[in-house]
Amino acid sequence: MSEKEELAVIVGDANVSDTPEALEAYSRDESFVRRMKPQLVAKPQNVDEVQEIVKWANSTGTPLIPVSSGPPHFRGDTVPSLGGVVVDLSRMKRIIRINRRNRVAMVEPGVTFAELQLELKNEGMRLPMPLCPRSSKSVIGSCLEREPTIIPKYQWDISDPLLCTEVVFGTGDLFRTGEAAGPGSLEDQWASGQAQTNAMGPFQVDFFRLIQGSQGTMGILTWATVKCELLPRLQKTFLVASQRLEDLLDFTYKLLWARLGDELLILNNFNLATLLAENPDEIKSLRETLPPWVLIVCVAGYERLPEERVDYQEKDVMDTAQRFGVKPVTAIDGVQGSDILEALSTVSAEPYWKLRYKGRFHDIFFLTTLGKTPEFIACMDQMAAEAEYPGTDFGVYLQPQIQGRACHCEFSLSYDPANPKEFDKVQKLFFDASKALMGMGGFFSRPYGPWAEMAYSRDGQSAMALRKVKGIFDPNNVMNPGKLCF
Amino acid sequence: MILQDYRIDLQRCSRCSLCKWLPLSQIKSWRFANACPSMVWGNFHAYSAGGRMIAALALLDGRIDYTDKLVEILYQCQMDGACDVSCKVNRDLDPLEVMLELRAKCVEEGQVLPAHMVMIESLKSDDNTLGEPKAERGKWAEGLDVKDITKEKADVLYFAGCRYSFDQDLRKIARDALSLLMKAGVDVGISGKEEACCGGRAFEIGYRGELTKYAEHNMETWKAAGVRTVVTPCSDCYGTFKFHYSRLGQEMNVEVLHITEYLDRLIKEGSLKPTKKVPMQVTYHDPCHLGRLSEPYIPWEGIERKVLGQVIVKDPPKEYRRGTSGIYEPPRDVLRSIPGLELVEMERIKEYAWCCGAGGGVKEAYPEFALSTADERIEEAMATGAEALVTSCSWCERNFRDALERSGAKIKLYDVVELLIEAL
Amino acid sequence: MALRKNVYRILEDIVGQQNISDEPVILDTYAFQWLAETISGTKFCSRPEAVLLPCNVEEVQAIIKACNRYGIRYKAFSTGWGPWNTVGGEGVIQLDLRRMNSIVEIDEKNMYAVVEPYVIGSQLQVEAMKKGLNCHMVGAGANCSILASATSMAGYGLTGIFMGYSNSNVLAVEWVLPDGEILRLGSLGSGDGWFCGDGPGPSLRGIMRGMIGALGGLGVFTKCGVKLYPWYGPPTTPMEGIHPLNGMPIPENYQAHSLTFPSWEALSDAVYRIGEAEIGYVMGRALPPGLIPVISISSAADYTQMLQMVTMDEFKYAIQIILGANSARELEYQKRAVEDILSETGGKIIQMMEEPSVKNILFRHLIKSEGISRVFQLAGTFATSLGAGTSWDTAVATGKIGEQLKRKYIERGAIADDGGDLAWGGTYQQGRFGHLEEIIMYDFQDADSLKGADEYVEESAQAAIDKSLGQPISIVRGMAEQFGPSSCDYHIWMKKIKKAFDPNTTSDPSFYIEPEA
Repeated sequence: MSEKEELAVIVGDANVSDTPEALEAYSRDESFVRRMKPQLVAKPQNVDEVQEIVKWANSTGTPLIPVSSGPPHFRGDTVPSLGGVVVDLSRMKRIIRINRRNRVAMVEPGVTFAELQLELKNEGMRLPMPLCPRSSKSVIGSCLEREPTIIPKYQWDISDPLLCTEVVFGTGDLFRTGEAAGPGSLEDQWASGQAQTNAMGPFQVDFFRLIQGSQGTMGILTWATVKCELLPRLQKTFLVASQRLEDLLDFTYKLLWARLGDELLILNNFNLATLLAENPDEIKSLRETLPPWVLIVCVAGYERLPEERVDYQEKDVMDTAQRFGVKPVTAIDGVQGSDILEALSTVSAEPYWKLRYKGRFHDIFFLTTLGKTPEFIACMDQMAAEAEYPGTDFGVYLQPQIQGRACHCEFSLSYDPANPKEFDKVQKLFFDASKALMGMGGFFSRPYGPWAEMAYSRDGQSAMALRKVKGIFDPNNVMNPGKLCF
Repeated sequence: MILQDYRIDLQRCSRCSLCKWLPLSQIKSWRFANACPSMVWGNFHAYSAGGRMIAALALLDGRIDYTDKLVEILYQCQMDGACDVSCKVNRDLDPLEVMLELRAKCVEEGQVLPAHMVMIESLKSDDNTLGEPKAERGKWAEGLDVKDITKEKADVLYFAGCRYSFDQDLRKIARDALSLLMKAGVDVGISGKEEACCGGRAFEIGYRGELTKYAEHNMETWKAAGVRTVVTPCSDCYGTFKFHYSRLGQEMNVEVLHITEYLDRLIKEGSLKPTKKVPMQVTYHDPCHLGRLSEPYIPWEGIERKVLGQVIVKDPPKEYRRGTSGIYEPPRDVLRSIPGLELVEMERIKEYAWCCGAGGGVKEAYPEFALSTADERIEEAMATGAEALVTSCSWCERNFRDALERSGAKIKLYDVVELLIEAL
Repeated sequence: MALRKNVYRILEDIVGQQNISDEPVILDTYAFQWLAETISGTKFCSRPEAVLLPCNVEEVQAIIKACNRYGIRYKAFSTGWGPWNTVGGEGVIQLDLRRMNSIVEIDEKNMYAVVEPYVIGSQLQVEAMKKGLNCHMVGAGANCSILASATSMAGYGLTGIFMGYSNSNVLAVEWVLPDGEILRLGSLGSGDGWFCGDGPGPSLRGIMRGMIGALGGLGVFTKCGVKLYPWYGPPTTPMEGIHPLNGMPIPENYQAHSLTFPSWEALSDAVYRIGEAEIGYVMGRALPPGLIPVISISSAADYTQMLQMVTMDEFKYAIQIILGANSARELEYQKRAVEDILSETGGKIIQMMEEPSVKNILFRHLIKSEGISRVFQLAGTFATSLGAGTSWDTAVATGKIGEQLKRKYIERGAIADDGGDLAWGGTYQQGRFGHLEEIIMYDFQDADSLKGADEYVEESAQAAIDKSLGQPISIVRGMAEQFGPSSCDYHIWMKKIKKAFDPNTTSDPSFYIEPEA
């Protein structure tokens, strides 16, 4: 039997493909990562099929590239490095369970934010999202990437909102992490009142953390529970505009300290314009009218005393602002806070908002602390200037994480893919700036594509330790080889 | 009680290590969170009260035998009782009593330190632990027109103590204190060279018989002299009279006061009127023996019985010493009565005070450890910003002086008496 | 099996003569432990071959490398309370990390601290409070090491509702691996600071600790970053009253109450609603009925008297809660939320606990985490059981089952009659998950009592498996083998990790796991 036939036995004829179109679609993404065609694309529908595929891969030495989200992809993690079979999990679309009492949902990898949010809304809940994700973005994919969410106060651990998982390790073994590991089956656990809300464990290990951030190199997730939050009954968005980023930081720190505000992030004028406008002209026009920096703070009331909650939070925000000499307002230069809130609360309309300006973009992102972000931004400004990249054309997104202990710092470089000169310029700037920002202490905790080599060369011990881990959970290196440090 | 009587308690130590720290809610800083000088010095768990409880158990069970290290561990401790206060926040244990019993057992079994043997020899020959001739004991009072209670009656006996009697650097304090009493019109006398050691230090290092001997001697002397009150400027003596004499079960029949209590009383009565300004910010060091160790011994005889299945209660109920009724306010009140003087507190005060380092036979046997402990207290005092560290104990004073001389730390050192004199 | 002299000398060269000992008296003080009798039948577990007091990561590394070279096992601890700190048998040296006691940094704005192993909860708390911050306090008490709780050992505590669980509070970590190599987790490994413990790529926290911790079986942790949380009170917190029943005056933006409900179900509902309302600074069953007297007793003798005086029914379905707020307005919102929840669930405030001096003592207990060691006071010792981190509903079910299981042991007189209900615990991360562990108090010096306690602990562990009550906190030797088969065979994976990271099995496996054969 051919490989295709063998896989067809597992997932059915209709769900394995080697058409040139299919292979081409998975051979590249929007990143600078080198193209490589897979041999096949398989679309399993359940955990048994996933497990069989992984076992088959081990027996045949075939690389597997798991993919949860639909296209477009931007980071190179789903582009095969060594060929192999793409395991497209988009058919695994069950929302297995939503439990309002414990504020948790159990979903399969093919479930997108839009799909889950709709169901959660019916239960009076929502899931904290990354900044306006693309419509095809998988909830589990986002969680596995440790994508920052825009409500830092709910991110107790950088792993949030991911909780328990079911995973097929690279060995083909099935495992459940956290509370879900046992004792008892899921049904037994549900019967005793459990809802898989505790991500930690079992006992002395935290294996979900090894799967998270691994870019598919350790195993394939077949379901996960995620932390949901109550749907606000009442929300009010405040914008704090500033000419200088530095003038916003102490105020932001104080809000984080006081747990004031749900959505809490800082965007520069380009990013805010791109988020709100629909086409390049509108973006340019709006960018010109917006202040350089805007802090977005949203206060909310939930099921209990919503008006009172919003009222005290609003007053506390205002009092704090006064102490720090800043002015929260509900609208700036024609942009309503409510419009921004709407953009933050939904997935992106098509095309994905970051593509609207020039058709393509490339992100540089890393972790630091909020107070250090101006130094990185100054560096980026300088490097952009040196590269003759217009300083007005890159987005800056600052997202406090882990309840304020760290800050995701993201630069988005837009460019016209049809313009080779611009492509080359941005590619060079991307590499040079990544290197410079890393050198300054930017922590590239999610090292996609070329960052992996750069990041692990700075932390050889972690690379060595991860290789040991990899040797345990994927000894034959079938899971997305060529990424990270293996 | 003997060590064996504590065997059950020894097993009940949970090794929580609370004996190493101030009671947790009393901790005010990372820097001054420790309660136990011995643990800071020795670092191994054996140097804590809990460690010594375990060592005692191991010794009783025959798991270990005497070694130089064991003896060193048992004696590298000022017996300051801070551990005891901390332990009893949540437990019905008596670690200080265990440590006293352990030392007594050492002495009984011949496990003694040469430095302590010298002290005891001196005690036996000259009634003091300092190696000084008994004949010179009363010299500190030469020139003072004070009654000799061995010859004439007085209401109050002023008991100078060994350190004040023989330490030439400190004699002035003893004289000043006495002068203050006389100035206030107190009918006071001394016993001069007939004064003998209180016996407290000997007891603390395990020589139990010496305490009995000196307690009986002193109490007989006081009785014979017909004094109603005994006043001492030495906190060690005070603690011994209050704590250790009371464990002997004999009625004292005299009121025992520390000099600061008496002076406080005289000031409040109006017999002494501090009027001169002493513009200074000071901090006060609570001597252990005036503070937590001055609470009377509380005898208990009874049984343990179980209620509610396995809850263990003492029958009759046992009362515990917790250090709360030490002499804390009188010395502070004296200082507060001095015009211009401002009292600022260190972090570890009253029943939670850090030891000066001199007690328990440490100054004699392990002088380096004693000074290191004093250094720690001086650092704490300096952290308050005060110009001066004030105390009210000859042993504390001596050890602080030695430590300051060695380190050159820039803080003045006074006895409460010295500052009061300045204010009069 | 004493250490060979040359090996002792090599270790001595690393830490200095003063900081190593193989004196029997010293060794015995490390062999003695609470619950040792459950391992060895006596108060002493195995003696270490020597005890070492390293003072920095370099010394720890040198020791571990020497251990690997000479085939010696080691076991490190920080504050060292509990039998899991003891060495597992012959040929093991003990590393007492006491001399590594610095608060390296408190980053006020980014709300974290960097600590060495021997910084205890109280120390970090008072320094943090000076900067408007506070730290999660484990239920075991503020005398426990912050680092140990963050890296190596469970981490339940009633501040969990506001400050999470120890596992989720750890940031970057400096970790000497079992083979002596130094691994720096997260941002620290790249030299970027302490603000994150994860990456690049997969988080190696995944093998570091889990819910319970590796308990010294996978190397030595020498520094870590831990999250700090807001403290809305004054920078210093003087106590009032007479020792040891001190009260902590309740600062302006705080309140403390005991709330009682008509049933377990009502209590459970209320706890869920408290979490959803995002209120509560400390919350949980701090004082289940059998522990209520400890709030105002100073010795065991007082316990029975108090037990009779207290109206137990009021405390049967009760929780204690501290409200803490950034502003008077927020406090008002929180108060109203509590009133609403009480009204919806039929709950009420226990008036007896509203007396100011009692409230202040309660406030001290809950903020300072000073009181829990009283469970030793009453019967001599205690053990705990069940207590998985799970949904609050399951936690409550666990409490009920624990009470049922205890009954026969109480009836036969084997354990203290605490009324049957000593289910202690609360919720974490604003109600995301909870735990109730069932405490028993017993007299280990009484053979029947000890036997009964052992049986109860065993029976409750089996109940956790049979009734799917989550993963209990039964920290015993061999627990991985005991619970692995019912929990995805995680023990088999642990064995592989042990083998990969500890090729010579030098890091004492006794409370972790033996490597894969």
